[in-house]
Amino acid sequence: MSRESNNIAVLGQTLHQRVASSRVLMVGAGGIGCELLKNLVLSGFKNIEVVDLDTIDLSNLNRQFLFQKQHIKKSKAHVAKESALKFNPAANITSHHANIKDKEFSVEWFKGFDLVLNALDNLDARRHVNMMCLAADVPLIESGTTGYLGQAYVIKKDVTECFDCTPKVTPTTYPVCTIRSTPSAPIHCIVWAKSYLFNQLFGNSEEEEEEAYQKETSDENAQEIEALARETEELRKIKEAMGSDEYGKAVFDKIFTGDIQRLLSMEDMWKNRTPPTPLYYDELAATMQAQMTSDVNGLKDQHTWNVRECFDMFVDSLTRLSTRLLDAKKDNPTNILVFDKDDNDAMDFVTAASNLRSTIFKIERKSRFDVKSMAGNIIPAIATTNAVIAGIVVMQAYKILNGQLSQTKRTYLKQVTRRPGLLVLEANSEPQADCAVCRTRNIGLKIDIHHTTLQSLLNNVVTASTETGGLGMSEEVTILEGDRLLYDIEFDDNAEKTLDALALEDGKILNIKDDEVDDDTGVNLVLQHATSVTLKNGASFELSGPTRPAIMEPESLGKRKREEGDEMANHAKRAALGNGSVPAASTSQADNGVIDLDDDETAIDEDGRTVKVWVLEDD
Amino acid sequence: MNETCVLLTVCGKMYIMETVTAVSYMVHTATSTAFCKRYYITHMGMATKENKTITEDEAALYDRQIRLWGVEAQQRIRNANILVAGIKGLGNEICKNLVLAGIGSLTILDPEPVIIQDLGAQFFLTEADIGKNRAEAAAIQVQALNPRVAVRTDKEDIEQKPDAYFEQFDIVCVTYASLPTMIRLDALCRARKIPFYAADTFGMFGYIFCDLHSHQYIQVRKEEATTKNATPREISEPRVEEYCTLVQSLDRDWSDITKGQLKKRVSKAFPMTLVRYRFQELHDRLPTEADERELGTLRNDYLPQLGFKDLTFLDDSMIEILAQTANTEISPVCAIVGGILAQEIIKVLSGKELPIQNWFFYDGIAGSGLIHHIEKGKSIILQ
Repeated sequence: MSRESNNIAVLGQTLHQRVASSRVLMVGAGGIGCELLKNLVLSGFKNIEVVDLDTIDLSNLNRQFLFQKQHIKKSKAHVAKESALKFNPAANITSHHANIKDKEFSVEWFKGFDLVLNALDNLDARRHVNMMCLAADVPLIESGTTGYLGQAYVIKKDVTECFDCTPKVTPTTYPVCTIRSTPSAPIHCIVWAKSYLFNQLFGNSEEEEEEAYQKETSDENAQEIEALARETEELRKIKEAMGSDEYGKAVFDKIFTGDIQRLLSMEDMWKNRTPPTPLYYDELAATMQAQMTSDVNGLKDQHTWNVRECFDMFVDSLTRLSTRLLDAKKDNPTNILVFDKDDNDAMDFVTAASNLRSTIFKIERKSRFDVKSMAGNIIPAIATTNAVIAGIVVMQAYKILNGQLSQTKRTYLKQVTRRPGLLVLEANSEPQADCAVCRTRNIGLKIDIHHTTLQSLLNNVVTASTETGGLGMSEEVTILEGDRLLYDIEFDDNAEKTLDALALEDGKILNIKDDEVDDDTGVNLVLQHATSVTLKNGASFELSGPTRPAIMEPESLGKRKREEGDEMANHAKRAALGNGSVPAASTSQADNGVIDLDDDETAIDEDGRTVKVWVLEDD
Repeated sequence: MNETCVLLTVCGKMYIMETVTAVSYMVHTATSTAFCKRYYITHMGMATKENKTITEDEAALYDRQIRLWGVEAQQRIRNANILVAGIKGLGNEICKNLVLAGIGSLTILDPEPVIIQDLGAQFFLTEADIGKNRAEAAAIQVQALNPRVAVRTDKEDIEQKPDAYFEQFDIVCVTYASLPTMIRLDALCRARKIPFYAADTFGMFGYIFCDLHSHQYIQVRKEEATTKNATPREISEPRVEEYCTLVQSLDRDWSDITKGQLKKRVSKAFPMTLVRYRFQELHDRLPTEADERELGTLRNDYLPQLGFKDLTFLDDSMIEILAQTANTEISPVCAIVGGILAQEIIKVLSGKELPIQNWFFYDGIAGSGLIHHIEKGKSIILQ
């Protein structure tokens, strides 16, 4: 009898041995990561590497159980390793307090693993690991949770959909006029306070408008947009008085009195809307000093401030932030303040300013707690959901190591409903034929990055004919590294720079598309530095890897075909779970806990919601 | 109610006011005894504690979960006294999740000593704990997760506990108990209106049973958005969910289940659980690899008695797996079942949203997690 007796009895000797000798990479040691690392060391995984760039925060401790109070501010990766080793001292864990996008984590390094497990909380890193696993041809288990909901699924090159096969939900944007002129919900006022006002007063006001709102330039609102630009300009002038005694009043008079009076003068705007009521500094200052009323729970963040409390807080936090900005500018005149939900002064300011604006537009005021959720896009994460999903990830890992990758199912954790399924299974989908990420050829390129310019790469590798060992593409190509444009026919600024001067080092991936070919997904060149001495026959470069996309058997996976109409809903649902950053105001399929599957009948549940009655797969 | 009033009067005016609320609630709602009982317990808890409300420190620690279930639910969680009887792999997961969530007190009951196999799925234990009492060894690590929770241990056998022992708890949760123990606990918890949970895992499989008697909860749903920009209003509706007893749920006649339903709506973990208990009842131990043949015979005799016509539902390969793994536990299955169970307990404490009604089965081979809703007095249970 040993600590492994149960694992051997359940898995059998063969699979148990495969688990023990496998090498796995876990990316992220946060909510899912803590649970997953515990499961891995207990389940008999012996060779584990953990990467996380984050440090431990107090608000992690309610779910990231490998961390305790004495660990706050320490590296998540290192502390997770130390805690997990106590569960099984025989495990061999290597921890990296680093960004998974660092160059040390090259494609070659990824190839050293049998399995990669994502336990991430952001879209960017998920995309990166997805791409690296495709390039290294290593199976990846992707997972995510939001509140009570979660999911886990397998990504394997040429076999399943990759992370980027389906579009992801982008943050909600609001029309500029809704934010600047006609707010109708608390979120509009919060976006105004955080993205417009905060940036204008403390940020880089020269910079163009925030991405948080959409520019609509129909004829109707062109005039209004012009007026708004004037308002912004006027605010800039007032800013020159920052630090003076009159500053608070000047800002208040401008944004809560003058600008509102101007809006009111546009009578057409208020024909079908409730017109705003300006606030007056002197009137508010003359009202009775607010008594800090404590609410039932006594927690100050839960309490919704009255107008006078908002007024006091606005003036006070404006002063605090102004002082900080002026101090920072003494060190360097280009210094600015950036909004951060964990910055108390910034949260005080955004709460007060948004609530004053809500009052003007007769919108419900919100507590500081609620404003923080919305302004900070906080996705509430809990221990239980993470634990369930981390368990499912290991069950998927067993299947993969047992040679049953194609039998793995995309698994969702739902909320309890009247339906039988709490864990819902869905067959893996095939790769999307036009996916620019996984349907692109990955070709290894060994080349001397110190002595090769982008132009010589173009001449010797990209446009050189296939007979001479090149890629045989036309002169009209676009070269990207991630989202960064390096070269196209109208942009050759980088042509004479060497690859290392462009930070194109080991493991970096260049996507090259031929603009002469319609819908070309192009090729990915995976860079590896090599001097000509080490290359065969003294060649200047060496290409390796498939020269054509792998051909997929059309019937290899997924018996079921989706309805066109369901496609978007499914995308939205997955994206909402997958990217871990659902915008505050969006409502996706996942929000109400109803996850619908295809092929099933539609029914109305007891709450009058339309739900899909689901059935388990027949196999 | 007399007892309530006396206690609360001692504690001051504020609590008398709340008693009045509780009493009038009881008068006006015919089926609200369970609710009142819980209301009473919660307030008793508050009355005996100095600190009635959540502190700013707690709000910072529990920030993310409060954003999910709200301050009031956190307040109820904070005042809950919970018994987890039986702490093996599944118990480790349940205790971890409940203590992280910030319950008031946790009592861990287990009379057995730690053995080496326990280290395979029980992360609260190390080799140094072998031979020590399992509850006491685990409790040290459980406490380290959250110093705010009062963690207590009990080394006595649950069979020896008098009925009155259970009255101190707001929720009773028992793992790896025998069926007769579960039946006794369910009955005595029902008599005292204490929500009751029983759960276990074996190999790739696991189950949860719960009896919440008459459970009152608030269902929050979003109103349809009327115009493009309007934020959908949230509507809270009080609901009552009636549960049947463990015995009633086991009495169900399964002969009405069609082949299609059996395949799609019934978990294989269910008949496996039944056969496993049947064996334990006959032999006073769990089956091992050597008992495969007898398990096959049990299936052939026992399942038709329950109304299962198609025995291929639990074929010989499944019986073989059951024999090999009936007395084993693995970490991922404990994590899945323990995560779902702890979330159910938190949900019941919060009084929000529909809980599991009333069996949940996890089948790690199929990957499925199915709820079996068995209603008292109804032959069809799977809608």
